[in-house]
Amino acid sequence: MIIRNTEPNSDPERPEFEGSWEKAHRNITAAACIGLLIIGVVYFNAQTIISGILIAVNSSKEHAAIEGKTFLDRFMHMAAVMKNPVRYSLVISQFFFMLLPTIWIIKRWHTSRVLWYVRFTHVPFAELFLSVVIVLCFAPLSGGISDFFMKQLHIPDFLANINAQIFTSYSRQELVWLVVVVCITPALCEETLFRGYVQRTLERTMGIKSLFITGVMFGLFHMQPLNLISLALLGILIGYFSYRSKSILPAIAAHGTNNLLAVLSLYKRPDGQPAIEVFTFEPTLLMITISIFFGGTLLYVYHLATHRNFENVFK
Amino acid sequence: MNSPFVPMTLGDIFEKTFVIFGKTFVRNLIIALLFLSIPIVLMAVAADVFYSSIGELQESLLHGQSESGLEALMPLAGAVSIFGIATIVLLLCVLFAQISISIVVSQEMLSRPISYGDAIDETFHQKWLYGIGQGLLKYLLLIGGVVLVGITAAILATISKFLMGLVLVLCILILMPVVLYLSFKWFFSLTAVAVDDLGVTDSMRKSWHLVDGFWWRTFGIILLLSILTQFIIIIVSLPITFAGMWDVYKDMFTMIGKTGGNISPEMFKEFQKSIGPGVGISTGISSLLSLLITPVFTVVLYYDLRARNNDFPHRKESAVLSDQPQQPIDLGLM
Repeated sequence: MIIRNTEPNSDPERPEFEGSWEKAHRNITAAACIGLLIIGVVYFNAQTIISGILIAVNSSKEHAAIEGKTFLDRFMHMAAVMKNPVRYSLVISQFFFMLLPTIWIIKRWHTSRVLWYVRFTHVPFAELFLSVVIVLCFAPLSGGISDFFMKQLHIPDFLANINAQIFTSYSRQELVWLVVVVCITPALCEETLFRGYVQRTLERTMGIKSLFITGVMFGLFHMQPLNLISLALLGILIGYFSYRSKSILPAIAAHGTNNLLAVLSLYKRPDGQPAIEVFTFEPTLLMITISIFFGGTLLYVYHLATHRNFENVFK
Repeated sequence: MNSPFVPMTLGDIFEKTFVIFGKTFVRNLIIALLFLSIPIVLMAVAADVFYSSIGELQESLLHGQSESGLEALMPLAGAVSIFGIATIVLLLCVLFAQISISIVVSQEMLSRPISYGDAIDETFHQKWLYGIGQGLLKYLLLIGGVVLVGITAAILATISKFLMGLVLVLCILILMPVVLYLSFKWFFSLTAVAVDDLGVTDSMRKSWHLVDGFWWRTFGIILLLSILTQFIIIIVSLPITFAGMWDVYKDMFTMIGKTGGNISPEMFKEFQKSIGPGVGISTGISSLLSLLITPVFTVVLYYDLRARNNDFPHRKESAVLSDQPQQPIDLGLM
């Protein structure tokens, strides 16, 4: 259910923020940071436990197959055995230990109007479309930054491929399943937490600064040092969509698109060759420069398109 | 904003910790860096020597180069000693920094901000000695029980192995909760030294008295805050440690790439030899981050427990709240 972007306190009898944190007039920034920490602890521990159990169950069935092979073969086999349990655990933990605790914290600390609070509000289609195109434009930059660090560190291709196993699909069914696991689930759950709760709460006291803080937190939470910079930049960009449009929907669309790009680039035929060649490009400096130019221009268009939300500021 | 003189809810404790953390962050960071810079470098060097000597020992054992077992172990013993000294220096500096930061936080709670220099001065007036004293006494009392069990088990081993096993299992089952119970009873002794300027035994008595009747509450809150602190430490220190060990990872991946993923024992040894500085950096950063957060929530909890124990007598409270000298009462106005 998408609600219209209306003023929340239409009923004067009903307080806008009736949660315990709000009623006690506690520091709002503290709520965002502590809430994020609590959800982070719950989520990571739950995911570790769930994936551990699922991997143990799965690997006990496949144990006989890995005997008598080289270290690398065992490693690759382990990655293959682990990928499905990790995918299942990702979906379970994102919905039950990230999305639900976020909703619970908003209800308990802030307001029972969760959808309104996370700004699950309608936006014009053009804004959604623009956010998707802008993320596509910035994809070469994001990929270029990650590639740069991978190359600097001399990470061999076969290790990178093992690492990418979790996002690699070899059939249409697997591709659809990965879209659910890697695109829809994180776009919905992570955006509700980061943009819907943390950024939204920080915005109340910090304004535009909240984008940068939430973006860096978003990067740190992924615990991928090599992708920290690109993830933080992505977080800031997605945060900007949410900040300007006063809705979480462009952020969800942009996040989902970014992840979809990764999934499509790793969609392979049964013989291991890429199924869609166009997504397997290696970003060149020229490509990155052109994409930044187009992305920047479209970002300015987005800025103008969302001006309606800031018209009253100067009045 | 709640006064430090009233009992706090969990939400209040969270908020107070966050707010005080923000207000004292720069001063606390300076204190932590002043105390920890040298120990962190020392720890990195010690860890490097330690891991290198382990690698050398493995090499000499593999190639049969060792003249005798004792001679082969000598470099490792030296490395362990350096590592031990570095650990003790780090622990002492962490203790001093904890006292200084607790003073800063406590004064902030009382709305009487203090500079980091004054806090360090106060630490080295007498509190550092009390801090070491209470730490040693706590350690001896807690470890004393464990040592006693060990001695008893060793004596019983001469009579019957079954009896020794039985006593050992029973004692561990009883000792573990006892050690846990006592650790939390004396959890605030260092804070009492820093905040209330109490001596060794008085600080431990004070902590014991404060936790009395609130043990489970204190245990739960400290556990929760410690888990959250650990989480912050992990997510912040991961990229920093990774950057600190960049060259080590680069060498490792280069070797793996050249050999096509066949990791030989030699490669593993080389990697093991070079992880020392990384271990040192990660220990240092963890200590630094822990130091910035743990004393803050400990002092907040200390004040909460004092309020719960009605430890703020009326006259004392007025004196604390009003920093101005008392004016003589003008009887003519009454």
